[in-house]
Amino acid sequence: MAPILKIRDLWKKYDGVPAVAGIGFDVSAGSMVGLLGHNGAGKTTTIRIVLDIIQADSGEVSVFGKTVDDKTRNRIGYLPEERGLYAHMAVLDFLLFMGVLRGMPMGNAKKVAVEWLERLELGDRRASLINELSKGNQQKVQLIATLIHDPELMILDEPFSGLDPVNRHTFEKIVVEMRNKGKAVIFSTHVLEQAERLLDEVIMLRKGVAVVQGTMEQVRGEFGRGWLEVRGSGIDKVLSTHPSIVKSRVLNDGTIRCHLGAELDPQSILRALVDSGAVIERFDRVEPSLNDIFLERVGGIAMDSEEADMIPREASA
Amino acid sequence: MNKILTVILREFLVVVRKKTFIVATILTPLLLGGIMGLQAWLASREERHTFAVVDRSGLNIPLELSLKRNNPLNIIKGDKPWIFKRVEDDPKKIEEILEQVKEKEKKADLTALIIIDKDVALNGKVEYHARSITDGQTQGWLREHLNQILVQKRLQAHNLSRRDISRVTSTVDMELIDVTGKREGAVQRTIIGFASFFLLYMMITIYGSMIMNGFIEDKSSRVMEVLLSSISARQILLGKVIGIGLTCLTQVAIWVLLLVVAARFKPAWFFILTTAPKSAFVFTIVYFLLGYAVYSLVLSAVGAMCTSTRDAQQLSLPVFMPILLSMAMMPAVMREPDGMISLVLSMIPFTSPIVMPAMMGLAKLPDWQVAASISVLVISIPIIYIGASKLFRLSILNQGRTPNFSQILKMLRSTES
Repeated sequence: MAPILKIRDLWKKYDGVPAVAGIGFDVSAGSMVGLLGHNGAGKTTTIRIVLDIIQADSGEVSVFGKTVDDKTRNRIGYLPEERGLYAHMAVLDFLLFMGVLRGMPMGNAKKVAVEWLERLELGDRRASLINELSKGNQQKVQLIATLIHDPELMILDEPFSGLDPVNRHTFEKIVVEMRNKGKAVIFSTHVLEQAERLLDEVIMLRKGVAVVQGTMEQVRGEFGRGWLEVRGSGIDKVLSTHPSIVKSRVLNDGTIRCHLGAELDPQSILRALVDSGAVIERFDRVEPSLNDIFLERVGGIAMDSEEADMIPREASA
Repeated sequence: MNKILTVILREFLVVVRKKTFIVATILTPLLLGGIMGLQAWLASREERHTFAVVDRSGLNIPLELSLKRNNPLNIIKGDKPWIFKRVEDDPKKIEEILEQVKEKEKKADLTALIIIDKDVALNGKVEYHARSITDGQTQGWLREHLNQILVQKRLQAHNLSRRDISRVTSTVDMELIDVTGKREGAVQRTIIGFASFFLLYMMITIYGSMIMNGFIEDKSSRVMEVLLSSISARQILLGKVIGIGLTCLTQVAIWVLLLVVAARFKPAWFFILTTAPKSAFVFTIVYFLLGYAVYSLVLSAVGAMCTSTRDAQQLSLPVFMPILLSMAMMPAVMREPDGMISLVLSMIPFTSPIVMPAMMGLAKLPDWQVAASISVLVISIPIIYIGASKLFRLSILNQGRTPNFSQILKMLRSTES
């Protein structure tokens, strides 16, 4: 099956500095692809090029097998990172405007808008002005505006940022539901735990370059076999000299995290430790998380974790 | 439904439904009517003047005016002549009168105290004591009036007969004839010309600014990017320009309707509408539409490049300069509607929409000039559109600093379409 979105060797420079440097990927129906990267890594630029909001310097973008035009725009749902609504418009009027703008007949737009409003518990607010709604409810309206025309390709720029936990859950549920209904979904995010849970494919961007790209399994496989985490006394000497260990690092609680080479297995390390008479408190094989891969390949301070966002300071102290 | 049409409809409805639009539509003609009425009332009130006169010349100068004679300057209008009260040349009395002039006592209501020098026949010296010495019109008439009387007195001193004097001093009677043969329409055409100048100036600045601020608002509320995912920047630009343009036309249509209703009561100014040439209305509308297109496109680009109304005020200043220039040039244009300045203004697309209807009211311009002026506008609009839409597209999502002049030029030169 032909991919819904196809990008090949995309380039865009601003004042000579590349914002996007040779990116290429596909998004197929029923799959969810994530763009991960720091601010300025090229996520939003890539998305805007796909939508023909800005023009690429070179490269190929095709949506539904052709370049973006008025008709194809009607089949795309876009949620920009910077949310925006007409503050002085009534909720339903705004949704109708967005629906009709994407080629829906007025009557159908109204039916769908009302259904969505009911589902998201905004049924009684349809006549309210948008600036009379709470921030959380405005976010819901924004999401409905993205989905009202039942787009086959959904492009979501940081869809979960700034949401309260309840809305985050609702949004996630709806996005997964869309993917399961066969929509192609592409979203950028910096919440890696969530990305790990939701994504089928991942693209990590660094200064406009895709440094990691592939399905979750591919990415993990390419990254290596993960880590060995060992805690105990008298383990340092063995771990620092064992030929299977490429490099190691001491974590906060005294655990030593060891990167394993490709050919040797943890079994030999355990044996060496026991033989040396070390006291072992913990010996774990750890699969690499997306966060680890990100840290390794993209670098810098890792992205915020979803949990860290949600736990109040007092509770963690 | 067509995408542009959807945007047009939204823009139109949003503005038309606003209370401010309804209030402005109703209040503007009332306010304008009020101002015109007030002016007329003030003008009629000012015709009457009472002067106190101290005549030290001993010539017994006959200042008093009568309708039949001694009123060549047409100072007496209707039944409100100027009144001259003779006062004795007594320092005490003069002091008292001066006090009256100063205080503007209701009963006396003196405009000024006039003191005629005792050697007036030789040195022509006359003193004019008044609270306001800036009323040039009244003083001008008075000076001319005194002049004529003095000339007559001097001639009498040379023993000329009354008949000879009147022959010598008879003035030129100049009849004003418009060679284009439209003599009776002169007043109407001037009024229509000025009305259209004022209307175009007002509508273009008000609605142009409305579009500019609308884009700044859409940009700062970030709704622009949502729109851009479903419709191209050009379509948004055109949709808003046309939508706001329609609200503007709606407002004008309502005013025309009010005018027609008011005309049923046959007020004094009614003749202006019925006798004015039809072409004046047609050209006003044509120039309005073209002028609106020019300014709204440029101001849209300004709005797209700015993130706040304060930035926009600065950046739009050069855009409004041609309008201010045309206003400043208006006296020169009136003096010489077919002169060089008028010709230049009629060929610049940023000034012609505002000055042309007024100029066409004031003089019969050659057909080629009108055709050339409209052609220049019609040709320049697509060029302005290409430039404006380029700037619009390249800067509408820019949330940073307002671009400077060289950056604007760079954007205009860029090959991105």
